[in-house]
Amino acid sequence: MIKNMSKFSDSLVRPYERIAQWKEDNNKLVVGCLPMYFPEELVHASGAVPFVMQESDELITLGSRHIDSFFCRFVRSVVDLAAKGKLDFLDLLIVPDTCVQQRGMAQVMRHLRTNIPVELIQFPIQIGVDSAVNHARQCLEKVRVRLQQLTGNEVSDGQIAKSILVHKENRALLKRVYQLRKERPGLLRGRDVMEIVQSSMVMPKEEHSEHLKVLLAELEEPQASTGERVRLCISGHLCSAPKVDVLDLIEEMGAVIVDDDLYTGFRYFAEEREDKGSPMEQLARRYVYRTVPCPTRFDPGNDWRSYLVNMAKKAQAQGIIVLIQRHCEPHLTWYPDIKDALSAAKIRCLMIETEHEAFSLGEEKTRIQKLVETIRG
Amino acid sequence: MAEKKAFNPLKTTREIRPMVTQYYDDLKRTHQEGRLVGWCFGFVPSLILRAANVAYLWGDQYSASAAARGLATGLHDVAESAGYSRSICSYCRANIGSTLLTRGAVPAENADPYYFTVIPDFVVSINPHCHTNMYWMDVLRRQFNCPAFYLQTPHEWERTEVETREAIALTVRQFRDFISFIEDLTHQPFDWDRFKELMIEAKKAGVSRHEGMELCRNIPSPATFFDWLNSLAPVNLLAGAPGTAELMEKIKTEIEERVARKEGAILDERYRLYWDGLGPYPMLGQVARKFTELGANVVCGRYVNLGFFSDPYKFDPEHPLETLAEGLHSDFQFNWNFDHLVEGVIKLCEDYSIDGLVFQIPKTCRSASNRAVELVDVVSRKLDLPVAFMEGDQTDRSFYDMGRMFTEVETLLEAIDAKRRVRGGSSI
Repeated sequence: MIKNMSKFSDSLVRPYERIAQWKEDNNKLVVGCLPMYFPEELVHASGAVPFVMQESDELITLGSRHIDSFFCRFVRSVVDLAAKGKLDFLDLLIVPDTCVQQRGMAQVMRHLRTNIPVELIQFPIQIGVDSAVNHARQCLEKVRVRLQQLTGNEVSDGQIAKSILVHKENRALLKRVYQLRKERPGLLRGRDVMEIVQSSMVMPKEEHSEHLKVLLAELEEPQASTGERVRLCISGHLCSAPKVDVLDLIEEMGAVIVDDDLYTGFRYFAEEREDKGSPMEQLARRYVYRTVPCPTRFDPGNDWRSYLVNMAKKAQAQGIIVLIQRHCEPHLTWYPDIKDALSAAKIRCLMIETEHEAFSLGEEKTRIQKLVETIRG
Repeated sequence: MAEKKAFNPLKTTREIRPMVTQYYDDLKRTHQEGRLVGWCFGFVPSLILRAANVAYLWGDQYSASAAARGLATGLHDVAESAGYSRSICSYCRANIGSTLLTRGAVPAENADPYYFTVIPDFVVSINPHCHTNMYWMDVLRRQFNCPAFYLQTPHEWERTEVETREAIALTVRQFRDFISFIEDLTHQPFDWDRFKELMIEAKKAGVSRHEGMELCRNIPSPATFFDWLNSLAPVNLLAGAPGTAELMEKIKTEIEERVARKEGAILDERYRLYWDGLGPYPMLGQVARKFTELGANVVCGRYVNLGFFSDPYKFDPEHPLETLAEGLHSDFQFNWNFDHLVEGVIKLCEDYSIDGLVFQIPKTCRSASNRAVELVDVVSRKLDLPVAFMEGDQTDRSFYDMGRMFTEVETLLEAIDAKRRVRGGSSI
């Protein structure tokens, strides 16, 4: 049992209330950043604190008056929080135009909560090409101007460069956690790994990095072996975290999670690029050139099928569990091809579609158990 | 004296279906004729592709047409059997079903001939309002392993002159890139003169359509929203095609004649309604007839009145790319910001003397539904009009419950009657 987990897991209990309180205690501005991939460094450089918006545990009630039920759990949850007035502490909400549901949410929220300034940043949808870098850079320049207006501070290239270093350190520490997990599967529970990454989204980066250093000191010590377990990767669940119950269930059924490309996992901190060009150029290039393929972007040179096959092979995983949020169209349109590719590579695959509301785990337990037993032979 | 029919759709629109059928038949011969075929999603760049002598299948229209023929369910079943979730846009799913059948990837016993179409040489997504078109295109790209082109048109956010100017400039640049992409595939220089000629034809058709729609402000309205759904092909799929300008003029003439005779599209127009949502293609005929039985004329809707280049007068053949870019950005309601959308819908309802609002949420079209729940509240309050709010879908019949739908509509009509009594008018 890892001792130094509480700082990470506690930060995810009522994160909106925590950050609102933190804002009051520290007299700082808080900028909400909708997932995915918005360069938080820019907000950090302005002196405000970036807060990556999270799905809440609350039942969706008032939000249903403003957004349809056939929208993903994350969008419905955020609109619901806005309708309940629980996001009024935000000084600005940045929407990086991830999908048509988010775009609609941005419009609805701007109308619903006129006290929260909302900015829709239309990043390039086609990425992986040089022409997208200039487009991304223009988007970031607009954000810079907006942040300067908001904070009254100049957001200079020098400040952005410093913020880039702060965020790079955080990513490097997260990568070390992942490295240790790969070397010693079972070192951390699946939920622990996810909470470690997810907590980075909801607290100041410097604070998170300090917690990571303490944790890593513990993890570097020799740990007891967890025995032979079926090795699995988990994939997907864009924009928000899967419920930890599902991760716990995977481990209860005798598997160990050895790698992932979850948004609240490797996807969040994967990208690193050379320090070439101005700080804004670096941020733009990191947006455009990706390691982990994303179905919300058009990036034909970066195929998710081959990425997942390679991920599984490198991690010596015997199977992949694909977690998809119900109504997440970008992911749902990729899934059949992913399934076929994994099958062709003889990697077992199980898809679990998740909901906002709590659901009975009985069926999922049976399916995961079957996967694990099939792999064990 | 000829018997007057309660249900009185336009007659001239019947000439459109054979044109579309012929179009799809011709499409199958395209490769034999040595021409390329592109599949398009979102906006169909028909004028550009016609100018380049490239044939095209427009996925959205293909799927809508399948639904109107009662054939979409079979395509959805094929797609869902292959693992494509029912939650995905049903236009996309129907087209994926056709793709799998056309490729021979799934068994095809007893499949309708409509399900099989021509394999594309390339795919293109032009996205004025919906990211899903890109995912759709990308599925097809992977299925056919063919070149793909993606064009991103900016969404209206601030509605400022600067934003509009930048959006048009960005879209024009991408249209030029698209034309280069086509030139590379065809190994032919683009025919700019032909492009201008086609735009002149498209403008004529668009103006006739616009003038015809404006005439529906008359009471009784000579055409319904459903007539306009049936009249879309000449201004989108078949834009610029021979005969389309003449056909739209004929449609307008029929409407003018009806106005002169005070002949409505339904015999006994007692209620004038606004429709929000896409066309109810799986149930189009049934829905249109049912409204007629209730004396309700659905006279307008943002999908037809505020979309598909709602301002054809702006068409400028000397600046065709700018025309297309501005049309996609500024003259297409799906791309409007929320306040603009509210203004547009309110003005539509006022101009067309609307008594009540029908909001049908197309469950799998998030572009149409992503603001609809908010929109209905705002518009109904500002106009003080009653609302019927229901679920539906653009091509997936499984989302329809006609009984429930028309219970909502009947309640709406009763509410209109009640308001009329309060105002001292007659309830009918």
